[in-house]
Amino acid sequence: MVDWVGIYSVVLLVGSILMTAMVLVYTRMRACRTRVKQSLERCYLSILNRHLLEGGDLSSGFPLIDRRYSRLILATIVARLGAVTYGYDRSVLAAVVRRYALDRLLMQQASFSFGMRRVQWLHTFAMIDSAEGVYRRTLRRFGRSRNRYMALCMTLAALNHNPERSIAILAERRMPLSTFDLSEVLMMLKRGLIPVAYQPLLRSEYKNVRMLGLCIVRYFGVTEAEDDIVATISSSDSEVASSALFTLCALRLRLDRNEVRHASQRMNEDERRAWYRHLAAEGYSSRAIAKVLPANEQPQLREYVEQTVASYKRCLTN
Amino acid sequence: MYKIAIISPDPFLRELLCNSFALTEAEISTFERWSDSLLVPLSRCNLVVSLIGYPFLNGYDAALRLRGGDEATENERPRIYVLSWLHDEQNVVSMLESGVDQYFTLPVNIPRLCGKIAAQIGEWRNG
Repeated sequence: MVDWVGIYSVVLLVGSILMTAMVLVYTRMRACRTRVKQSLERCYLSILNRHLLEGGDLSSGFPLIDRRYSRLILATIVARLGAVTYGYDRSVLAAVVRRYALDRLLMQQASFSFGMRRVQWLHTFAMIDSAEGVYRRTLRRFGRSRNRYMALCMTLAALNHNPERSIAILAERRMPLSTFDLSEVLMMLKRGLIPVAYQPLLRSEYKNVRMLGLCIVRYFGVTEAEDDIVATISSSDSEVASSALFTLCALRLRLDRNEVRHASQRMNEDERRAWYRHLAAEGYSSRAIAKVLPANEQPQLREYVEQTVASYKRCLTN
Repeated sequence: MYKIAIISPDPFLRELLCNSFALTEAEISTFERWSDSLLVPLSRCNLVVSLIGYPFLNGYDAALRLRGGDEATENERPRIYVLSWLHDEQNVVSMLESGVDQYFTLPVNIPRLCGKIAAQIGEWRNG
């Protein structure tokens, strides 16, 4: 008679031993791959950074660069180096991209990947100086995507490729720019890739361009733009008007104006509550806020203003 | 030899700064994050470059602790540079008031930062 229990036990035991061995091998391989990746990252960053700081030639090149995996690491290093620094010679980074065809590699990698990995590769692509042909092909392939992250990557790539057309690129963009998108564009601007001229942006007829203008004014604290900001508060687009109102407060400018009063009357209760919270955080006193409260403001919101202002320990702006 | 400590949770930035500062001929040590156990080794450094700003803002008084209170003389105190993505005036002023010597916002100009450190080292050398 066959002992089925014994056979099952042996099969289970062998299976579990095999599974454990596979997990161990996989873990070791993964750890080894991570170590190789870290070593290559350190090596490539060192070579590139030394070359950017001290000059010299890159003819000796990068070790193991003939492998696709290594070139992807180099592409990531070039993109990150460009993202966190400014003042480096961009032509050196562009030359590295051309020499190892990193732009084409990133485009292929984005085509092979899906989901957020594709976005990640496209974002890396947007940070490097790509060749005209590769840029056009990438734009054709991904430019019509309705995925907002991919659309942002393509906008960033377009801004990086044609910085002199930045206003036109933002005007042509179909999707509105979110706060996250604006911060990404602002980072490019801070690296000196896009010209900072806020007046044409604030006076533009396109929503995205005006939002970027307000973002720039807020970021750099341009109080000279006061008249343009006040004019924007009366804009028919509620999102632009709200952004202008918050920009006025962020610059701690005078609130006692008809435009601000009208804007506060147009807001619903939740929007007013958020705005009062922002005013308190920016350091406005309850007396200054009282001047722009609608005459028929609810008692609980008046009390909310008092409590929120009292909760911030700040020098108050009257 | 002058000692520089770099504190950054981001390995890329840590490596980038370490690589760049190596040109200033200083001894460089890197740390991933702030902790109480770091105070002693950091206080022996001439310059601390931190990419983490919160120990200077949250009441921890990192600058005061690093400099060993009021007893340490001016020359014994490590200089503190902070690099951060925070750019609003309130944070920058708060950090400078809490004892930070230089504040840089990211993205940073690496040649300029290295130049400042080289100038600082030259100042120490010349007494």
